[in-house]
Order: sequence, then structure tokens, then C-alpha cells
Amino acid sequence: MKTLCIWMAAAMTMGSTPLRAAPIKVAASLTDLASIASSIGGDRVETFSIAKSTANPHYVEVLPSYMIMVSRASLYLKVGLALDQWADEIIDGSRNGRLLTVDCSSGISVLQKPSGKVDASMGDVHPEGNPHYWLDPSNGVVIAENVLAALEKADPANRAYYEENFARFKSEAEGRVAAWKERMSKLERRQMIGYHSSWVYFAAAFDLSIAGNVEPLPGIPPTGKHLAELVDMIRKDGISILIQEPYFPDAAPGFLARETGIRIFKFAPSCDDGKPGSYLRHFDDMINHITR
Amino acid sequence: MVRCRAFPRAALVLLCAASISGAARAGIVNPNISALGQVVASRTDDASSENARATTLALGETELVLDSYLNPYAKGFFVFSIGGEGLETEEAFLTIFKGLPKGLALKGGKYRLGFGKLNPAHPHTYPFIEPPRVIAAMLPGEDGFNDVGAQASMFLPTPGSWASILSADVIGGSSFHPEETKSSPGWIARWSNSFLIGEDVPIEIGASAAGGTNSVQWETATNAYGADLKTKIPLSSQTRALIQAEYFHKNVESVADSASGRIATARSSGFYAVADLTFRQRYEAGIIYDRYGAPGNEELTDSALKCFAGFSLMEETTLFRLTYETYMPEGSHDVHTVAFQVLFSMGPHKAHQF
Repeated sequence: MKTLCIWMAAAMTMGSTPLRAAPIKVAASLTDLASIASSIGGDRVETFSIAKSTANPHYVEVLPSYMIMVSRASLYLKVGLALDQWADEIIDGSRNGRLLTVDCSSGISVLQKPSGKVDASMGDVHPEGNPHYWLDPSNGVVIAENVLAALEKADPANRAYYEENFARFKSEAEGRVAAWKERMSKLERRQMIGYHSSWVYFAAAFDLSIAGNVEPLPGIPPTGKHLAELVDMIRKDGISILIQEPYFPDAAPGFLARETGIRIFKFAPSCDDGKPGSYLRHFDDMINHITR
Repeated sequence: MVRCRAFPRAALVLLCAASISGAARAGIVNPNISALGQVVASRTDDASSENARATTLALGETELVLDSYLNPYAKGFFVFSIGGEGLETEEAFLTIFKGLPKGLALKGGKYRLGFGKLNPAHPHTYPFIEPPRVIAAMLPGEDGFNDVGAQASMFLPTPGSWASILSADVIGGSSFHPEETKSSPGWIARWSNSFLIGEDVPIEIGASAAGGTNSVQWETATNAYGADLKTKIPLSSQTRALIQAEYFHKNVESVADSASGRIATARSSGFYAVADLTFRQRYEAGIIYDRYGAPGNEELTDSALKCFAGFSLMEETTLFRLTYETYMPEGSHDVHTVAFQVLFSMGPHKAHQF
């Protein structure tokens, strides 16, 4: 009877205790996707990311080292929406026939999806829409759903463990999003300037509007005329926030700050690393700076 | 009457369905298409050139690239070049990159051979206009070492970020004896080792070897050996330095005495080293030095020093490049050449290869 009780107790706790085997190796294009995967996979996964947090995620050099690391992975988490096309070269170069590739944009409400013909006269426009969706923390939950589905497929024995971690991540994200929105709602001025069109989802999440970008068109360097127009706009509308990625030159934002007094926030578009919690902590840091 | 009116409607529906499915199918099967133009203006004081001390403007080689997946396991590539000699198939090959055991990959067709780091890459991907002279002096082929062949490559088992790739090719061998109609196969092998120092400093060290017949009639051989090193060091979020060097050695057999059939071997070696700084995203500047000996007489060495700068107008679709070269042939006057290139490309952004 005592043995039976022990077996029953073990079976009841099976749902939350991971079945032991070698951790699943998860590769991700960005630290944000890796961090979310670490939160959902817990100690059942080993994650690594390709693009560094301070690097421009549009341009990543394909290294043989990335290929060999992906050759040992079971899952690859892609941003999709044509942002990380370089990932295809890494995935193909890995020669990994058992790799499951997950497009994390699945289920995202994509913003700035162009209608009609798209060509280079419009700048570096992504034909499938703006790909910087992970910068809306609510989309972090959608990414987590995609990761959950992939982990359940790759490791069905630990389904309950992953679902429990997902529920915890979702609850924490939703709670913190509500708190961030509350803090951001107190900003008097609701307009901001971006350097590149990376901040569309961030602005939408916190009810800010993007009055313009330092780049006149995506991927096109600023011109004197465009900067002069921005100076007029910033002065006229009293815009006080400019968000710049660290890999863009400082000259144009510096000029705007000198001319108008606009505050420059230099934010990496991705979190520092792929550890659990880093994804949400990145928003903490950004919102702390903006609302300080 | 009813039948007559119903028929065109049905036909219209069928036609629409057919055109939609055709369009969808076309979207799947159409390859990626890229086109590249390279206009060059140059001026040289080379007395042996017919354009000595004259400024020339030329439409260099125009490239048309088509590539696509053939199925989930294979990709196909075509590179056509249009230049002074008309349309040429520079490359046409397929790779089977997935589904083979032990990380094996296969490649077959006509392609730029993987000897060293510079030869397999297309010249428009270099930070300078012309490849260093040592490449043409030490490797077979007029526009790079390029041949029809088949390659097998595999990852060797290594820990961490260390990628050790071994490849072997059997090639048609005509690049070793371009003047002859009879053919004799050649071979090429490469072992490359790439790893990361810290998180973001990649280093690649490689060794290459190739062999083939330079005279089918006399069965004399050319053997080439090379060692290469490449690294990119990030200095800030917008600045990085590239250091790259290759060393070459070749043995060329020839008939010293046709009566006795005595064969002599001429040995020569050379190298190039390049340092290139990319800064503020769109600018780059660097220097390249190369030096190589004449076959059979290492005392006779040619060398060249080249300074180059580049500026990307908008993204990477329009590039301007300026190169100034001092070529120092042994026993002759120095030759000075300045060249300016406008390089423009359209089509999908290709991933940047290390």
C-alpha cells in the first residue's frame, strides 16, 4: 500500500516535474526569442541566439560557427516577415535534417503591411509587414505560444511542464504589461520619433504615436532636408522622445537634440541575453528610462 | 439561351481558377533573381597598356544571378556574366545540403573552387575592385580558379562554436590546361576551421591544396598549396576591422628536354595581406599588399600595394569604390593605377557570408 501511494504521488507530480533526458537545444535568431524559449522550456532546454542584442538584426553575417551550433539543435526560432533571411543560410548550412524551424510571427497582428507593389523606391520595406513585432510585450505571449507548440511537438513527454511554464510566463507578462501601460499613460506627450521603423509595435503597445523617423524611408540615411522637417515638427508638436538603436550613427539624433532639446533614448531593440526573464526585463529597463 | 449564358460564366470561373493556381505556382517556382552592374573608370601609367595615361570608362562585368530551392534538400544556382566576351556561364551548380548522413553535403556543376578565402567569393563582394595579383599568378584560371566538378564536404566532430569542415572536389581540370582540347581531371581539397573568440570575434584558419595536369600531352602536373587566415574584430557597434591573409605555393612541372622527356619543376610562392576598416555603417577604407615570386626564380618578385575606400550611398544597393595601386614588378618601373567603380545591384538581399 505504501509503495502504491509513493507511485501515485509520483504520478501526480509528473505533470510539473520534467522527465529527465538530455536538454533540447534551441537556436534563435534573436535573444528575445531565446529568452522566451528559456522561460517556457525551463531546465529542459538549452538556448542560444545568433544576433547579439546590440547588433542590427537585419544584417547578420553568416558564420560557419553558427552553422555548426545549429547543426546540433532540435528547434530554430525565426523572427520571420523577411527580417532574418540570413537565418535560412545558417539553417541550410547546418545540414540538419531533423531541425524544426518555427516562424515566431505566426499569429501576430502584423502592422504596416504594404498593399500593392513593393519596391526599393519605398526604402527597405518588408513586403510581409513590419517585422519588429517582439517589441510589443503582448506579442511576447504570442511568441511563447509558438514556442510552446514547438516544444510540445519536439518533446511531448514534458507537455505538462511546458504548459505550466507558459501559464506562468503569460500571467507575469500580462501583469507587467498592465503596470507598464499604467506608467506610460502618465506621459503628457504621446508622440515620439524613431530612428528606424523598429518602434512601431512598441509605440502601439503603449498608446504612443510615431510622428516620424530619423530615416526618411526605412533603411535610407537621413538627409538635411528631412532633418530640417523633423526639427520643425518636433518644435511645433512638442515631441520629447527619440528612440535610437545603438548601431545607428549618433550625428542625426545629436543634431535634433541640439536644435530642439528632444531626449534621446538609446535602446537596443533586443534584450541582453537569452536567459529566462531577460525579455520582460528589457521592457522594464526601457520604460524606467522613459518615465524617469 | 440559358446554356449559352451559363457556359461563358463557367469558363470564366475555370479560367480565373487556372490563372490563380498558375500565379500561385509561379510564386513558388520562380527563382530569386539578382542583377549587378559594375561601371569602372580607371587611369594607369603602365607603358605596356594601350590605354596608358588615358582615362578609360568601361562597363565591367554585368552579373545575373538566379537561385532557388529545387526541393527541400537541394538548391540550384546560376551566375551569368556579360562582358567583353559576350554571355558566359560563370557558375551553374546544385548543392544537396540536407538529408545526407554525418552532415555530408554535395555540390556539382561549374563553380568557383573553394581554394582559400578569396577565390570562392565573387569579386564584387571584395572591398577592393580587382583581386590581388598573387591570385592570378598562383592559381589556375584567368578569372579565378573556376571549373566543372563535384564536391563532398562534411563537418568534423568538434565542440562548441568550432566548425571544422573538410571538403574534397574532383574537377574537370581544364583550368590547369585551358589551351588544350584533351582533358585530364584534377582535384582540390580544403580543411577550414572557424571558431568564435568570445561572442563576436570570428576567426577562420584554412588550408587548401589542388592538383592537375598542365600539359595533357606531356602529363606534367601543377600542384598548388595554400594557407589562409581571416578575422573580423568589432571595435564598436558601428566599426569593425577585417584582417585577412593567404599564402600560396605552387610547383609547376614542365618538359625541360623534349628529346629525353626530362621534366623540371619550377617552384614559386606568394601571399597577400589585407586590413579593412568599416565605420559609420556605410564607409570603409583599407590597404592590401601582395608579393609573389616568378616560377623557378624566387629572386624575381613582383609586389603591389593597394589603398582602397568605399562608400555605400543607400544601404548596400549602390556602392562607390576607389582604389589606388602601386604595382612594383621586379626589374621594371613602378606602375600606378587609380580606379573608381560604381556598383549597383537589384534583387533580394543576400546574407553576408564570412
